[in-house]
Amino acid sequence: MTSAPTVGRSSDEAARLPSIDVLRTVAICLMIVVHFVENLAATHDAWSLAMNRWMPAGAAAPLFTFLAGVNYRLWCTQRIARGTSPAALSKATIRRGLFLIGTGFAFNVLVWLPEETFNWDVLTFVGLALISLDVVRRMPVSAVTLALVLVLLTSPVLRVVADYPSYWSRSWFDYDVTLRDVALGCLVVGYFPLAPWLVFPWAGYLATPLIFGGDASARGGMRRPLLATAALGALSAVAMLVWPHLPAGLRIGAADGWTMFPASTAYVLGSLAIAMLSLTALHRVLDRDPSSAWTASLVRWTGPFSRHSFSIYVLHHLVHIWPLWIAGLAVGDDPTALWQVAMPAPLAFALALACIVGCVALFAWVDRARLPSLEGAMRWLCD
Amino acid sequence: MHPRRIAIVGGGPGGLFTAWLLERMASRRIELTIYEASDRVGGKVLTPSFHSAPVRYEAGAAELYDYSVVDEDPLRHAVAMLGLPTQPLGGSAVLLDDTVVGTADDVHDRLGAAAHAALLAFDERAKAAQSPRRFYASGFDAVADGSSRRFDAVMDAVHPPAARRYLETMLRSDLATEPCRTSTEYGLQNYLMNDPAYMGLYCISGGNEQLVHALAARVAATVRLHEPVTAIGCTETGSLWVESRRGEQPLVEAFDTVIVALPMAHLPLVRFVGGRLEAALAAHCAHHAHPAHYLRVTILFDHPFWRRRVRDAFFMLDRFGGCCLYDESARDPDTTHGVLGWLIAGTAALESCARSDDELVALALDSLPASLGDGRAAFREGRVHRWPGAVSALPGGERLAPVDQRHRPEPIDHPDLFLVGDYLFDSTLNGVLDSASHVAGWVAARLAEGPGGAA
Amino acid sequence: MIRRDAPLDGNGRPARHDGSGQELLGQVRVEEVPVDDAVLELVVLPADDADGTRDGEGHEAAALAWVAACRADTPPVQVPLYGTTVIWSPSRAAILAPHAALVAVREALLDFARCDAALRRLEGEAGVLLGRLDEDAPCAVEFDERHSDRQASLEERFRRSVRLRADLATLAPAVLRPPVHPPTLAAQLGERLRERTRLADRLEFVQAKADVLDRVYDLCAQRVGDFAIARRHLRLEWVIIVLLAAELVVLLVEVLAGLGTTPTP
Repeated sequence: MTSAPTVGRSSDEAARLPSIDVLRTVAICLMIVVHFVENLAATHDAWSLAMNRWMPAGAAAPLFTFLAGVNYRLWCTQRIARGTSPAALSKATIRRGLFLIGTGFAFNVLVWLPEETFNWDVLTFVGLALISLDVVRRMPVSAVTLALVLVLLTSPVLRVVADYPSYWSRSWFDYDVTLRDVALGCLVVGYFPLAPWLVFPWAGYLATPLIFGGDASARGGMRRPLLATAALGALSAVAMLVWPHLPAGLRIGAADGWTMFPASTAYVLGSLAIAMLSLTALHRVLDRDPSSAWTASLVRWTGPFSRHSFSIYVLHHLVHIWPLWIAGLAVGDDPTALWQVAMPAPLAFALALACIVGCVALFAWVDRARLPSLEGAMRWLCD
Repeated sequence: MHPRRIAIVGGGPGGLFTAWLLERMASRRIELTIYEASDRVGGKVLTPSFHSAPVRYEAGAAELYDYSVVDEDPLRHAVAMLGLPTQPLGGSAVLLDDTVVGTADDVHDRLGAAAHAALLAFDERAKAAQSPRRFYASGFDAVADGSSRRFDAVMDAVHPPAARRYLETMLRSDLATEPCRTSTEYGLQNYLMNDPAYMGLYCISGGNEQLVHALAARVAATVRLHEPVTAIGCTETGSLWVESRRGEQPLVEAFDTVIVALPMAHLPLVRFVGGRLEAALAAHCAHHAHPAHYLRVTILFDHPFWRRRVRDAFFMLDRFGGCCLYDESARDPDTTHGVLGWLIAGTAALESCARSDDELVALALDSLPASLGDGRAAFREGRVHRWPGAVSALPGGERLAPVDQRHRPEPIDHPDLFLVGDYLFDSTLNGVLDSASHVAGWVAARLAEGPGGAA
Repeated sequence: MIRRDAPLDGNGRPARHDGSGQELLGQVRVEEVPVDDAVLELVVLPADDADGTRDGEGHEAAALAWVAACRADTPPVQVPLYGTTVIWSPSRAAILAPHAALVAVREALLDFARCDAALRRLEGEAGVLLGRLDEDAPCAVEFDERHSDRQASLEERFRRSVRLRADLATLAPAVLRPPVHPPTLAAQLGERLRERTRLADRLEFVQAKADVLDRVYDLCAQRVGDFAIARRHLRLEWVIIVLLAAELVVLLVEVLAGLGTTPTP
């Protein structure tokens, strides 16, 4: 979401990490495909329904938010190495967070509907997460780990207390614009509430020295992240397998299985494991020799995507949601008339691919021509 | 308030130390007058030079004793305060019949295992009798060995004869008298002074006489040379008077305080007027007059030929009843000449005083062992200095008087008349400083109390 | 010990028969004796007559030249004593003594050489540590996160300064031992060598340097310790903050959730 991630080396030229570019590109592409199919074709027909069911719906957001934490850690390291003071770092972080939150609210109003302003979607979440990372930066590792574990463990409890199912009876986040619903939505019941989604950026922040701390080419440098991945995966499996068999009194609400809304404990642990494993593997394979022909070619295609992930997030919504609303108004008074029924899933899938290709070309041109972008605006305003 | 007039009789180390200390301690103005019968101040501390070469030698007190290994050493401290550089002195060699016995190993190898064992036994006995702390305190408030046992009885117990001879030769020049005329304690002390754990020896670089010159330079006193004191008394009002002779002219002056810093042998030359005073001084002299004698023969040679065999600063020779031979040229690294000084003590010294200088120089040259080298071939000049009765030391059985009584013989009618002398302590320069410190402190306290002062 | 049997001249090279006094050394055995962390080359020449004089002055001169040839930073120390001569420099030494005294003199010389070598080592160590003092002294005033990469090096130098102090304490009794009385030849030689090389003064100088190092590294250790404790306390404080924050969030959610409930009549 922010500027290009760099390794905190002493040289003036920032060294990009191909692993992060590639993984973020994968996350964005997944997100585009899922959003296109979900919004345009999810309930078009039975085949679309089935296809939608099998979409890797929950894969992109964990990757993205995990990478946000990783990126922030690397960005801080780079800034500190260049002599930026802690106060200046905090200011930049908080400004960026507020920019993202503001953009998120504006996005909700302009892209979705005014009543979706406080749906606490991913943009507002990433903004809040960034501000929280400024606090995490000052905390000792043990305190951050404790906070992360508390968030994970208390989330199911909070969902019970807040009566999560009452906000999701119609399979989307439905709330009243009251202080209660807005606050609870931010904390527990929204699309991307702080509990438990804060686990991902915080885990990314903590895992960065584990993954990037050792020599990229050394097998020994992979031992600890792989051990962490295995532990997370095992815990996820335990949650998946054990949870259904617990007595009812212990199965504290809506946390069994692999669900994204709400983010079940198994889902959080499992997707965290997948994110960490992916990044560790890509770091081992790609970052060892960033100048190799194959890696360089990969970076040439994924670089623009990664650098402009924020812009792509907004743009891909614009290019498929606005036409959807316009078409809906054209056929009736309700802009949401064609939502999820506009076309068959394969067509939606094809449009998603076209969007991806178009974004690659577009932002490669933006980079060449040094045209303004959302990322540039954020840097200009906040740094 | 008029300044306190103080007379010091004697311009030797005792008088100079007393004057120096008084000026430092006195809390009111004092006027000091030092009477000295000879043409120089310094007394037994004398560092002249040869005529044939600008080479100096010690004619009197040749070494200073360093007690700082045990506790504070006021003399060492005073020398440092006067800014005088010092050199350590050391030597353990004893020459017996042309044999150099340098160490305990040589005693074993050359005198035999029995002699070695006897030496170690004597050493152990001496250390058992006197700890370094007791050694340090002896002569001050310590009570002398009250037994009537003389040191010769201790020596008689040393067997075999070779060991006894070795010890006698080592100790003779320090004893300055026969073992039968001194106490066991004193005799053992003279042995233990060779042990660095008890005491060290040093000299002042450039000559020990620099000590008295430094004192004289710092003392704002009127020094009257060639003016011997002939009588001391007090008036009916209690103030003291001093009669001296300037040329043929007798002079009498009144003083508030009189300090007599004369050697024991010179005290009888002063007439102490007044029944009580005369009796007190007579008792004092009778108690302390146990004269010991020294004689120094110092010879200048072309080069230090003896250093092939012995390199110590001093070594003992079994001639003249046992004498100490100083390598005086070792104190001056710049000289190429050799200077040997014979310190003859006791009866041999007294008897030798009657001989002429040339005779004594010849005897000294004859006393050199052949193995050391031919002294006559390198001879340049010889000098003799006689010190009969220059030192007093209490023999065995005599108890030391309390320190105050030693220094103020007649406190009733003459509370401001004091005595200072090395014989009141250990007959050394350290002793004379202790004596001078005691009296200077006493007088300063009386000055602080007021015009009359306490009794 | 290595035995090298070779005639040596005054420069430590094989002797030539050129008529000089140096060839008098003849067949000598050069011992290499370890002294502390150095090696001392030692030549022992017995005197020929019981009186202690050597067979001509040539031996002494040749021995002196051989010892001097090692090019130490100070000229050799020569101690003649009652028929025995010891010539010493930090890397070479020669003993000329009567047969009966050889063993004792050799032991006394080696004992002194070990003390001197140990003291030289400690002098070097103190010099090295003092050279780092300017770099480390700021940490004696303040130690925080910025200096945490220096903690290992500070610990290492603290250990070395403690080691220096311990070695000085171990060496001091040997250097400052009181003179022996009645004196033996070996004891006197040892005392003379210690005096001539100013062992006691040098020990005092190194102890003074060690005092400075102790002071600075003690303070650094205190600061590091204070920092570690502060960091531990900070950790504990953050843990408490996190727990309290979690409790607050749970309470907040409870309160907010309770806002929506309708009271029963």
